[in-house]
Amino acid sequence: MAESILKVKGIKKYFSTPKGMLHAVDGVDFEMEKGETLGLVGESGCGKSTIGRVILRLLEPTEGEIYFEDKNISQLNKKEMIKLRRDMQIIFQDPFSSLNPRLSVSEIIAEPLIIHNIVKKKNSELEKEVLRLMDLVGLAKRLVNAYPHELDGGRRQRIGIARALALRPKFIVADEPVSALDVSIQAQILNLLQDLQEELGLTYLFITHDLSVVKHISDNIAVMYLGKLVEKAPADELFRNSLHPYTQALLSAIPVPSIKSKRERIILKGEITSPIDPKPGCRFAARCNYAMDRCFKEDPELTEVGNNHHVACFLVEEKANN
Amino acid sequence: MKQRVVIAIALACNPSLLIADEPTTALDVTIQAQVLELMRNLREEFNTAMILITHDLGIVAETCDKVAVMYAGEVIEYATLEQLFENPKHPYTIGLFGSIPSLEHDVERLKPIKGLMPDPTNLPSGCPFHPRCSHAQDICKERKPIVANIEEGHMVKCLIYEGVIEAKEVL
Repeated sequence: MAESILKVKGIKKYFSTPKGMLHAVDGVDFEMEKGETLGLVGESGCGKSTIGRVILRLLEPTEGEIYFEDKNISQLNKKEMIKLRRDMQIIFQDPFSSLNPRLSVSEIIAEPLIIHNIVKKKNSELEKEVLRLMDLVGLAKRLVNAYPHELDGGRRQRIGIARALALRPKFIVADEPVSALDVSIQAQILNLLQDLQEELGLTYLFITHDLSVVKHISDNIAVMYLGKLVEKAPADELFRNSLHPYTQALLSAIPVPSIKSKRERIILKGEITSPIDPKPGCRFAARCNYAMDRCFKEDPELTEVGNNHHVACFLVEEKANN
Repeated sequence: MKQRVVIAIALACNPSLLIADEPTTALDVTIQAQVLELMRNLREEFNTAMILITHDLGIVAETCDKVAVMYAGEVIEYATLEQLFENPKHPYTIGLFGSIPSLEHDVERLKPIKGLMPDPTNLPSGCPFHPRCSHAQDICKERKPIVANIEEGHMVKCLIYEGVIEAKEVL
């Protein structure tokens, strides 16, 4: 068994809104091994980005514990957290708003190195390190004094990646890192992320709504629906043998760029229900074709059904018991 | 729901042609499936022709009969759905297919098109795709390709198919 790098236990994050408590993340547990890529998928508003931010403590969890390399980090103070940021970094979705428009490429990449006192400001060592990072992510040297607005989305995302890598982290939350990019650029960035992972032994929590991207890049995939994990399995297993009715509908809804695979499509009724003060019971019950009485009363737990395959559904549980 | 309202507005006057510009790009997949299904049914019911503008080849495969692939302001390949998906010809079209992660086949690494889209105010000379094309030769910088017919209904703009240059590998 490989070394565990991250463990989250019973994470909850509620936001207070005028209409009531918004349950963005409502009791999520998972564990990640060193060097693994865990894909976190779900539709907009299901809480996947919130999880990423809570793990890095960019948001404080309402409840629950986060362990990084067996150390409980949920209670660390600001100073201890700064130290930890060297090991845990994030790549943001929007390469347009996540870069300071007043800083040049080299200043953006150098900023974490200066904040963490790794190199002194304005010396040749810093310059060398910035150029090394630019080279690592495939940014041409001549762009060193360029500003973000002069560059296209793909290059900006490369800056975001270089900045995340500057502190030589072990763990990176990649929050929709390719969603804003065109497919040909998207493919370039995905290849870069995979190369860097091999080279530097990185662990990725890869958050996305794009199921073909997640299958391509992940070892394991967790599917989220309204603040809860509904299914978690190795990537191939999930696509071959999805068990949760939501996962099945989600997978069948992807338009496949091939004319040979004519699949039965499961079209879901309705839209996502509100995450504000949710009623007890399975969050998916209202849209589920198989919902039983029980589904509206009790919360299904995420349980292992073999092969590292976990699912939270009473239907699956009952089938297994019979 | 909002997109349904927009579709209703567009269909209000019973048009014979509907232009749908990225109608589902902002939507989640389960909602996208609902809207595509709705558009398909309405099109059959009212016998409306549709131009669907999209960057998603998956949606093309499920919705369209014919496909025109555009690059830098030009249609560089035009074919029926079957021809384009089974037998893409233009190096750009082939590159697009290589860039999409597949749900059906596992590949270690994607094969992206190198480089970036050209600046539309300063397009490259000759074939606009030549700076990014792995088959490009000197003549591609000078000569603009004209439409070549591959077979009935399948057209492509590339010097390879005019017989001017050789492809570097079998396309």
